Amino acid sequence: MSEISQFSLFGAGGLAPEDAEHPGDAEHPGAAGELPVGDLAEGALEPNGRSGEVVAPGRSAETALPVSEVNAAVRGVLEASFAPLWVVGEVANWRRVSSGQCYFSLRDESAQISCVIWRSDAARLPTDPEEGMEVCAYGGLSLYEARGQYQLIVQKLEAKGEGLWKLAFERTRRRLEAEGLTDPARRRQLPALPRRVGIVTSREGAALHDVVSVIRRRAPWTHILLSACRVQGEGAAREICAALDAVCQHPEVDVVVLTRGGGSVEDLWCFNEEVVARAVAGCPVPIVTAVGHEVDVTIVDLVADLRAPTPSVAGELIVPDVADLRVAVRRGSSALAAALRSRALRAEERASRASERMSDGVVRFVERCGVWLDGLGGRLETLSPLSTLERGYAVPSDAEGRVLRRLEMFEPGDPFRLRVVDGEVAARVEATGGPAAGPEQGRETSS
Amino acid sequence: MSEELDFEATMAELERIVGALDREELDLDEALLLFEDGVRHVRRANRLLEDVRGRIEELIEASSEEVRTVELAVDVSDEEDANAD
Repeated sequence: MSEISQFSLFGAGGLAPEDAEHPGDAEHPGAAGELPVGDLAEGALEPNGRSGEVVAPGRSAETALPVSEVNAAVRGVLEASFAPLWVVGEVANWRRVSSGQCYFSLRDESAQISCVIWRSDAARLPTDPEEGMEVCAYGGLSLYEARGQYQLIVQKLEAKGEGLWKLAFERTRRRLEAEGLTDPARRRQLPALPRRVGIVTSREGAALHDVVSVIRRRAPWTHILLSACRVQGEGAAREICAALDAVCQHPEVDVVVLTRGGGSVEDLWCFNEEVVARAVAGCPVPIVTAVGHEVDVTIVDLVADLRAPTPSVAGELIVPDVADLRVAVRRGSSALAAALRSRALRAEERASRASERMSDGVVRFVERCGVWLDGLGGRLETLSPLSTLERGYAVPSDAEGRVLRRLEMFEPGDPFRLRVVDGEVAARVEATGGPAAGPEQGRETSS
Repeated sequence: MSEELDFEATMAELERIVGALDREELDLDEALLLFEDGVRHVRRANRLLEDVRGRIEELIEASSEEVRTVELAVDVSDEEDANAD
């Protein structure tokens, strides 16, 4: 070991542990001594076949080392000397090659480092950084032996703040916008009363529970169909698209909610992916998105028909509250009662103009109506105008169906019809002019 | 109840009946029959809000020909959702 650590190999390269420029570098101690052993020892310790005499390789022209061995040794030193580290600088000359790797430089005012990101790490980047963007890169130092160039093998790349995510978001947004997919005019009206709600989310998440609870409470008759998928991590985007497509194939799904609970930017990222946004934009039925918390706006929110701030609110936006519907029914029944009342009053006026006697009958009839109507409230459904017929009132009409309201409409001997509670009776007028009260003017003769 | 939830249709019909009673010069007996019909619609609307409980299912397969679902158990307690996020 002691011989090896004195190899002049490290004296010239500026990386020797005893280099005056790095006296206090904690990463270095001992490293140079350990590493070259494997690479250099075998060839170096038997220099030039002179047995018995140990001559340090590279010390003389006779023991000169091949370039590749030097680079391999340097690489070993570099990789062993530095634990993976964060480096901050500006991005220059970013290049993503067809195999998926990315090459660039990190630099500041006075220096630069070559960087590479291997394919699997590059695939996790939300987008490519812009030229000159200040980033922090995390990775290990190494040497590209073929060119003798040292480089940072980057595993993670982050822009200041959430810069890279924002950049990716903006890029996708601009693309979708250019195609008109974020146009508010595209947004469709949700069905007022959906029969079946499709939910695209994770089976385990709180979002499912929230949406289902709210729908159950507000509109318990609503059918719910879950189309489950993962909502974070690699492959989630594809699963979301497939789940969305599947739920839309169900013929009765008339609104869809795409949802997940809160999470980090990375967790929510699949909802910012263009492929998911396009699936949402192309959804054949109206779609509501509810991703993360109130402050999280994702790309899918921009192309959905409606964005809900949370899963629970999505439930509220999708179905009406049963209490409101009951109010609507009550209003409808009140309006119905009011309409009949005013109709009855008109009849009364007309009748009183035509004939005092008929008027008595109609007035009494209208009073009856008033009795029902006054008791309406919640009891409307128990009331029926037919119950008045049941009490003995009947409505006479001629063959054409015109109601016979006045004395002069009856001619002795004329046939007419009487509507009673359970049907009609054929009748004939025997005589007119008697002081009978009520609508039953003629004596019935069964047909 | 039939598979279709025609609450909307029922309410629309009720609205039409009220409008007809208001606007048209109907004979009293026609008006009464119309009212009776309206009451039936009110009853029906209320029934639609009372009786029915929707199914909660999970889609397990959707091919172009076939959609298969299974019953899904979701713990739904009415109190919890008030403060859910």
